[in-house]
Amino acid sequence: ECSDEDVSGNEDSGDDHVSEGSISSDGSGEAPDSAVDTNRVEEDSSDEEIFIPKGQKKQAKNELPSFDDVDAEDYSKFFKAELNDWSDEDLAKSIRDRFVTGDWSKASLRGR
Amino acid sequence: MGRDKARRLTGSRHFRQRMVLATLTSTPIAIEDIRAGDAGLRAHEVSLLRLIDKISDHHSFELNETGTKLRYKPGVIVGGRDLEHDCGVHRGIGYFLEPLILLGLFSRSPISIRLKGITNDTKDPSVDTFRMVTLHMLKHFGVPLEGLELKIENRGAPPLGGGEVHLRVPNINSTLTAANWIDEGMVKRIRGVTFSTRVSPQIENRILYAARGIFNKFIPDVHIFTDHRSGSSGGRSAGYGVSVVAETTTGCLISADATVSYPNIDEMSKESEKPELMSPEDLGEQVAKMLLDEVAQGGVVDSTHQGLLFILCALCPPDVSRVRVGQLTPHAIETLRNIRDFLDVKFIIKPDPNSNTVTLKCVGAGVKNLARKIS
Repeated sequence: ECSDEDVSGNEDSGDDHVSEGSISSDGSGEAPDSAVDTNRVEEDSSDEEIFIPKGQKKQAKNELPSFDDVDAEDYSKFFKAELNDWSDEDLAKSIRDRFVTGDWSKASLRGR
Repeated sequence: MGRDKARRLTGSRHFRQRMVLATLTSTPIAIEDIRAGDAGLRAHEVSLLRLIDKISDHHSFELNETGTKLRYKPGVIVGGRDLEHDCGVHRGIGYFLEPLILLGLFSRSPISIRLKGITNDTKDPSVDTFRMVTLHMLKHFGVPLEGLELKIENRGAPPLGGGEVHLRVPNINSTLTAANWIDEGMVKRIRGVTFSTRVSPQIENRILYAARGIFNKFIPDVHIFTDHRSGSSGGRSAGYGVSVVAETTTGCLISADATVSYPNIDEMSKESEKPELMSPEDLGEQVAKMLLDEVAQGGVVDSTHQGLLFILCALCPPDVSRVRVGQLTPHAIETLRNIRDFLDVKFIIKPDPNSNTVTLKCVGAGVKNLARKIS
């Protein structure tokens, strides 16, 4: 992975950070493999998108999935975008057997 | 010398893991393009370098003027007693604790250190989570709990902090021991602690009633303690929060925590007005949902601790470790990549569609505490 980053980083230094920011505003949440990543950098850097005002670049950056942002924030805490509503009876039922108050025989079947 | 052999890395991502893994494997690293358009290393990262500097010997840092390039040649972790470090107010103390325990385990002598700063915030695991959950993970890898301690002397919420904790980490004799940790068990009780600094202590009761209301639909054994701090032990800012832990029949600890405070200094400039804070009731409800989400995942640790779990497995002697987690987080996946790059350890990942969990298996890299041997 390190070497992949090096490739895309060294290819077009300087302004490439701007293009990197704009790439992922297309919103794909998946980690692109290195080949795809490199291609995209090349395509985009020739675009007029190089000239993104500084503020906008930062905004795009915030939306980056951490996979292709070399400056992704360093968090170990996991932030879930939307929490389940556990007051919903059906949903609550799905985790009942994860508690000792639930059905032990069903719980023991988990993972078998 | 060694200048050309340094492992070349780009950007500020995974700064802590890179520093820790470089240190534990004695791999010199050169990080380039650190926030190239955006002022390079941030205050909390520089603070982490200072912390590593305090507990190491024979190491070297070279930072360029703009803070965008860092060369690090690891030395020996020496540890030591009566140390002190100001973690600043950009990130919580939790940011520093995770790298610190890993380094402490492989140190020449045990670490005993006072850390000052923010004890509870939104971005990093709270010091309570650390005390109740993170430290206990180590015993699964053969680290005795004696000598492992985190005392919360003062609490400090963002933006101004003012908290202080005292951490003790024992150093291991030689290696960790491989773990076979795949039975997540059933939740037998829920424990937790609320805190409040410079606000009415009544707020804590409102948090815990809301949280307990949700938990009690699943299990009666719920105890959430309160920890109101006033005066200097409450730091310099107003805030409140709660950390909760689900304990299972097999001794797994699943955690969630949340804090409400005014924005920290990095965010303050963006929102000039004082934002409205989340109510204690909403906070209690939110943290309860967060914990139930984690319980539903069905791992032996929660999502926040996946990365640390994998690093511990990878540092073990060349025996097989097996662990079960819920859905892999992006941070955990990146951790696996860093482990592969630095330790040359690859995990075999097997999804279990029945329980929606993932079992990971690896053969440890056999990292030894060489610092201890030399002395």
